[in-house]
Amino acid sequence: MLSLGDRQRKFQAALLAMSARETTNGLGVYRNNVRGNLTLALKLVFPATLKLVGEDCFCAYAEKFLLAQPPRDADLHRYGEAFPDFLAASALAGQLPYLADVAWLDWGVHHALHEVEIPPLDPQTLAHAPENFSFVGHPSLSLRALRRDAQAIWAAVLEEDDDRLAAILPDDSIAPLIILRPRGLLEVIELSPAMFDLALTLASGFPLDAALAVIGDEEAAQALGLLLSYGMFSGITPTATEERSCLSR
Amino acid sequence: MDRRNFAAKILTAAVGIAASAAPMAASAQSISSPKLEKCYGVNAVGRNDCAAGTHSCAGQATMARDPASFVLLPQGDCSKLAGGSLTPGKAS
Repeated sequence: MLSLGDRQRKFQAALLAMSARETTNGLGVYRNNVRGNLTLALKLVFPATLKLVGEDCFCAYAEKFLLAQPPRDADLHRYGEAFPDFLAASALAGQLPYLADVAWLDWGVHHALHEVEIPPLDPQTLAHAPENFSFVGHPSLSLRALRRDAQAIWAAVLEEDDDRLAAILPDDSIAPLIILRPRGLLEVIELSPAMFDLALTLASGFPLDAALAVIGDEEAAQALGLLLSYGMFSGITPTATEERSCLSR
Repeated sequence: MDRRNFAAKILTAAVGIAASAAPMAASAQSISSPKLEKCYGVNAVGRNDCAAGTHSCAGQATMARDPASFVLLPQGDCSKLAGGSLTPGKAS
């Protein structure tokens, strides 16, 4: 016999898989509502992406996405994190190489604004840190190395500034960004490539001495100091000695 | 130099740098992004899934335009929308 969870998953899958022509058992209204709601949730999270590709195109790809990756959480504010990478792997990416990065900016800002607000780690408390620890990334934090033109496109599209949009030159060089809201204000900060590597390694939970291997010794203190001042971390967590020793060797 | 001692030195130096950099971090390092504002009360029914419980389907959602929820809009757009407000209202 199916458990309730299995039954619900099967029903969700069947509902999402129904074609528009099927009208079995009056389920069409549910099918349409589910798709409509999820598409609308994505539209609200990805305003610049929506404006960039237009309503019809956005809805077509939103539908493909929601069939492939339906939400796992009842809170639809959390739905869509995988949409930028879904777009990156789609046919659209060939025509609009910056699209996935624009979508990621939409997601990062949405995430930073809706994630729980907690104060950042106070660097002064590190004086009393245990010998072995790793940093905990701030809940509002997103990191990604984007195409350099993506942020200008994102900003111009959101503000519907066609003149500025027309003046943007394609630039596929890398701009590493972090988006976060550690003190109530949204911050979009560009990092140097070395600083970005350090930020990514620390945010992934590597202890400090292991993470310092990704950055030059001379830049390390400055880079870590700036990351701390940006409020990139919300705390520290002690690392077990055994775990440490296999990472740092 | 021993990596552990090195990490401890870097940490001490970094804390000093963070202390002097803190006041300017918020403004000087941020790069320009559009002026966005939270717009309350215009969220569409998509955020209030049928599962929310008070209604049987989205077409009848009573929580559309929930004044306690917001969407992010370019500055200025919020006031153009019926029901839009820059401050959260009481949830109905």
